[in-house]
Amino acid sequence: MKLSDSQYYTLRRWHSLSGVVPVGAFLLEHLATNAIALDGPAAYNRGVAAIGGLPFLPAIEVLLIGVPILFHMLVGALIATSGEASVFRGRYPRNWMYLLQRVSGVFLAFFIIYHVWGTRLSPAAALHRSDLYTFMRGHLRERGVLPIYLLGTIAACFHLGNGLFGFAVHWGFAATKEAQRRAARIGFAVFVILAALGVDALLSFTDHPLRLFGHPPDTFALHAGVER
Amino acid sequence: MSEPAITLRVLRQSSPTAAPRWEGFTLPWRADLSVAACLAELRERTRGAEGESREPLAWTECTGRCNGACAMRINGAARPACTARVDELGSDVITLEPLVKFVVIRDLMVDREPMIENIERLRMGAEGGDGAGGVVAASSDPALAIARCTRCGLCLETCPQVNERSDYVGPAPIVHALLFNALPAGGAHARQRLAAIMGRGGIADCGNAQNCVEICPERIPLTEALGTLARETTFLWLGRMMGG
Repeated sequence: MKLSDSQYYTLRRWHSLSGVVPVGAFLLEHLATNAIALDGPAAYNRGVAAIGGLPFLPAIEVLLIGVPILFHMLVGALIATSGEASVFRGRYPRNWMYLLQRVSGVFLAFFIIYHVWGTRLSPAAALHRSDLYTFMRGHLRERGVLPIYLLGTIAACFHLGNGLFGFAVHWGFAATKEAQRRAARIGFAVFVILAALGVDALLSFTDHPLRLFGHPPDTFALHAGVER
Repeated sequence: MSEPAITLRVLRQSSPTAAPRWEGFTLPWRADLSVAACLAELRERTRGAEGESREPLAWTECTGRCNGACAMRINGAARPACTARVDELGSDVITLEPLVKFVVIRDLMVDREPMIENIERLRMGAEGGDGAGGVVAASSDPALAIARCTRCGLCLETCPQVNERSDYVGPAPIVHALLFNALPAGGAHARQRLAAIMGRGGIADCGNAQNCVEICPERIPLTEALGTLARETTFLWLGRMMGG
C-alpha cells in the first residue's frame, strides 16, 4: 500500500487523535469501572451489570473500542519500527520518554491481545458461570497473571500520559518551550494518578488490597442489589 | 618518568565504500589542546615524507569561529571537535569517529550535501537569512534564530527518527521552512513550504525525543520551531479538510 504525502500526514494525525479519543477515553472508563471493585464485589458486579445493559453494546465495543485500538496499534507498529532504540551518549532525558513510549506501545499491543483473550474470548472466559468479580479474582490468581496485569496497567497509563504530551506538541497546542514543559508535566501527572488508581483497583481483586484512596468496601456479598 | 601523552584512536576510511579501520596515534599531552588541534597535528604527521604515497587524515576544519563543520563523534558523543578540549574529556584515550547519520567521504569527513539539499529545497526564492548576518542574528524571534544554523548536522546525528529505516529528513531542514517563511522575500511561498514539510519524511515523522534542541551548538530553539510548524501545518490540514 502506497500512501500519498497528504494521506500520510492525515494517517499520522488520526493516529495521534485516536490515542486520545476514543482509546484514551476508553482507558479512563475502563479504569473507573475497575475502581468500583474498591467498593466490594457487590458494587462491582452491579456496575458491570449496568454496563451490560447499555444499548448497542456489541456495536460500541467493536466500532468505538476494538477498531480504534487496532488502528492505533497498527499505525503505532509502523512508527515504532521506524525509530531507533539505542540510548547512547549524547541522548537526553526526553529521549527516555521517546523510547518508553515505543516500548510501552509494543508491550501493550501484546498485553491487550492477551487481556481480551483471557477475559472475553478464551473458553474459560466465555463459558464461566460465575459473576465477573469471582471470575476476575480467580483469573488474577492464576500463575503469572497478576504481574502481567500490573505491568499492563502501568504501561497503559504511561502511554496515555506521555501520549498526551506528544498529542499537545504534534497538534500545535504546545508550541513554546514553556507550553511543552507544561504539557510534559501534565502528561506525567496523568500517568502517576491513573497508574495509582489502576493498580489500586487491580489489587482490590486480590487478598492484598492497597486502598490508596479510601474506605473499606461496603460489603463482601457478591450480588447485593442485583436481580438474579 | 615519561612525558604525559594522549592516545587518539581514529576510525579511518579511505573512501565512501571502503571498510573502516582503527588507527592509533600518540601526542604529547597539553591541557589547552582541542581535539581539532590534535587533528591538525595528525594531518601533518600522516602526510608522510616527500614522494611517499600516504593518505593524510581527512576531516572538515571550521573556518574562523566554530561553524560546526568539524562535528564528529568524540568518545562516542557527537560534538564539534574545535570546542572539545582534551583536558575536559577526562580520559587519556580519545576515540574519534565520523558522524553516523551521514555518508563518510573520507576518514572523519562526511557528506552533508543531502541535508543541505533538503534545506535548499524549501528556500523557494526566499533569499538571505543564512550565515548569521547582522539584524537576523541579533533578533530574539525564534524563527529568525534559525538563521544561526551552521548546517553542522548534529541535530540529525542525535535524532532517533533519522535512520536508514525512515525517510525523516531531520530537524535542520524542517525548521528552515519557518525561517524562510519569516523572511521578507519568503511570504509568497509560505503555504508551499508548509505543504512541503507535511509529506512523508516531514514534520509528522518528528518523534518528540527533543535531543536536537539539547545538542544544537548554536542553541537554536528547535523544538519551539518544530512546535510552531506543527501548529501551522495543523491549521493548513484542517483548512484543506474543510475545502479551504
